[in-house]
Amino acid sequence: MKDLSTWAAAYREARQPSEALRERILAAVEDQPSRWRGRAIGVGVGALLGAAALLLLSWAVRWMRPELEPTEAQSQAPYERSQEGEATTRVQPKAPAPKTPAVVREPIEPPAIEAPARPRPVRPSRAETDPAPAPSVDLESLRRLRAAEQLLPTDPARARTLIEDHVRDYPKSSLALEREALWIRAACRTGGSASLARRRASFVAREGVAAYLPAIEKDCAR
Amino acid sequence: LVSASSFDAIFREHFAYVWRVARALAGAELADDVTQETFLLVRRRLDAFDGPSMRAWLYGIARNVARNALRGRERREHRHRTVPRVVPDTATQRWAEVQEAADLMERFLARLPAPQREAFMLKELEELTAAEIAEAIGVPLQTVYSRVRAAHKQLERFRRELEGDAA
Repeated sequence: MKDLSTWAAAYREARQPSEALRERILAAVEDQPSRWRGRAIGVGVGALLGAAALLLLSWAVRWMRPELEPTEAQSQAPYERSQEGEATTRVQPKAPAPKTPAVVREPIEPPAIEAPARPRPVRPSRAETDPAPAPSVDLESLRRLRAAEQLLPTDPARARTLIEDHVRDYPKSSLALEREALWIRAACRTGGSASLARRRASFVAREGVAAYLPAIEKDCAR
Repeated sequence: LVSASSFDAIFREHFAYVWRVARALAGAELADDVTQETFLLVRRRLDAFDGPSMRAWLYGIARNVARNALRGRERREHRHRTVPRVVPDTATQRWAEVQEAADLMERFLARLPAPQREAFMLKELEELTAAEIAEAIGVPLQTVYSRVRAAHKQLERFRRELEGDAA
């Protein structure tokens, strides 16, 4: 054999890939984008199915625990979660508080909570310090505040009593903000009390109470 | 993915080069598969290429693919396809000489240690520059030179052996 360059040229000439391989590779490369598209579609469908499954699971969990859903009372009353730790859904309160229509002349009888046979609520002092109190306690608490609010336009003194009972039974309620706002409004409507000015000033100074202030100002301006 | 036209141009220009590299690195049986896999990767990654030498970049990909192919050969079934080869003018005396020279070169390459074979093949057979080789295999320039020099010494010895056999 002659020099290296001749040898190398012979090597390159003799060692050539086949045309069949060329066609095979070109076909594979042509097929490649569609394979990637197929994978992308598969991933997309999988993601959609996963999202649907999560949605279904979330719905099922809510369905099994309806007491954690915002109730009609919550959606109508200006209740909002306080920062005291109960596990219910935060509801943006409406302000001002709903007014009783003028055509309603007779006082609205409070619901069964007024009756002497009213079942004693579960003592909350222990339960409400738990990170996840029993939902029934929370619902009962909510129902009683709702009753107090309904009494506010027609019988603020009674409403105030109900609120103070609520304070006694649920000293660490997550509805403490709403309750305090109702108490101030009830106290204003009943002509004030020794502690009203202090409690009102303290309430107004707190954070996250702006939604309650219009109703308080309205009731206290009377 | 890059445009089909740029890939086609690269494929057209470097197909034989990649195949020879694949053959040298992975052997004749795996050369076709390595070449195909290399170009599939090239098609996907071409937009990431920013080096000075396309052949060096192709070599880097082919080398990795060949390495994986050799590792996996024991684990997978034999996939070598016997494809009809286009044999140019095999009847002539010249073609017989070319084939003999190519066979001898492969015999010589097989005798070299892998680092020397790699450097020698790229330098003398594929005619890459020393800088391209250094980039392709990731070694300093001086290392490329020293490996090629060592391979040349082996080549002289090989030639003497051939001449001795002929005599």
